[in-house]
Amino acid sequence: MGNIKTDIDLIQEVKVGSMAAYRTLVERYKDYVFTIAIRVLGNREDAEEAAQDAFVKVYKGISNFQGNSKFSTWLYRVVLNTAISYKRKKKIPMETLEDYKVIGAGEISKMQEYQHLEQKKFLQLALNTMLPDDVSVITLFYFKELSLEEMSEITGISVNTLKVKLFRARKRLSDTLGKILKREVTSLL
Amino acid sequence: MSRFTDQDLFDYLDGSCSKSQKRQIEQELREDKALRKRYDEFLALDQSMAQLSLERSPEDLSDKIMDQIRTLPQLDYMGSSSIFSGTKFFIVSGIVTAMVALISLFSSGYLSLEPLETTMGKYQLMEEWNFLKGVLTKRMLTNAMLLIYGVLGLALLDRAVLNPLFRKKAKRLSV
Repeated sequence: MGNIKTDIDLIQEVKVGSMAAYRTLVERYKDYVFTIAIRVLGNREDAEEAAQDAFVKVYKGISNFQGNSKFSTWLYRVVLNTAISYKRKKKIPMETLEDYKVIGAGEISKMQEYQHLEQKKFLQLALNTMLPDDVSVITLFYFKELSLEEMSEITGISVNTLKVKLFRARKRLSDTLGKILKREVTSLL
Repeated sequence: MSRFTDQDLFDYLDGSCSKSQKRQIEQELREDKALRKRYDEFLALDQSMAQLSLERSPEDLSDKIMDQIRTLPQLDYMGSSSIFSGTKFFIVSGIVTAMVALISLFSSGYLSLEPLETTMGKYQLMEEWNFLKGVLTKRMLTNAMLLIYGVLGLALLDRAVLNPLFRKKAKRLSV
């Protein structure tokens, strides 16, 4: 039980050349990193590429990591910036609600068999219509493990602005989700 | 129209409102259907987002990352801020060597301050030079040089022999 190494221990080992220690860090955080990337980018392929890129960037800079903030804070900041710049560079378009008209009744009934998947899909659809900054704030907020101060450090937005941004983003997401679900119900009738 | 805003409802959901406000909101949620409807929407969003578990990354993501990292040049194990890192090490050792060489040349008498003395005012420099001569004996200079060479030698031993040795060992352990 007591053998689980802390991030700081692992980073010290990475600094003296242990690749195994870095692999442990990757294993520990890969799902978080991938989740942030997929929320911002909206598809698995780009998210995988951005996640890889972020981990490589962090490895390159690890000798400068002083431990003044948590490793995860630094890592999330890197993956957020990477994902946002991917979105800009690859010109991944922000979707509009009109894009969901094409979902057919057959697909909907299939989705009803998998309620969780359906819910997830609608949420991701709603997230895809939002600005990357808003998606970042919402994603980090619902990780539940981060304080507003840590979120502020990751996003580079002051705590007060962050609170306002978070409120607006949640409100917007709720409205968009409402519109999507209304559309789905209408298409079923 | 309710006196509570959407922000108040989110604060209530997050548990970040005061006790008295919490009571008031709960009271109004029981009486005001429109407020209840807004609250239910936000609650549904919160619950959905909370259930939206972490995405599972592709199975081979770690392998792909580690493969990419193996192609990179090795990390500078001494840390880039250290004076023993990369080019900084050579600059520092160059400066130290130059200083040692200068001291040796002056102490052996091969270099002298004569040309400077004539241009800069003999009396001032002579005073300082005589003072230095009085304080710095040859023995002291030799000891200082030995000390500097010793430190340099240890640093070189560490960088050229010990570091690569431990690096190899760490690499073998990490595979």
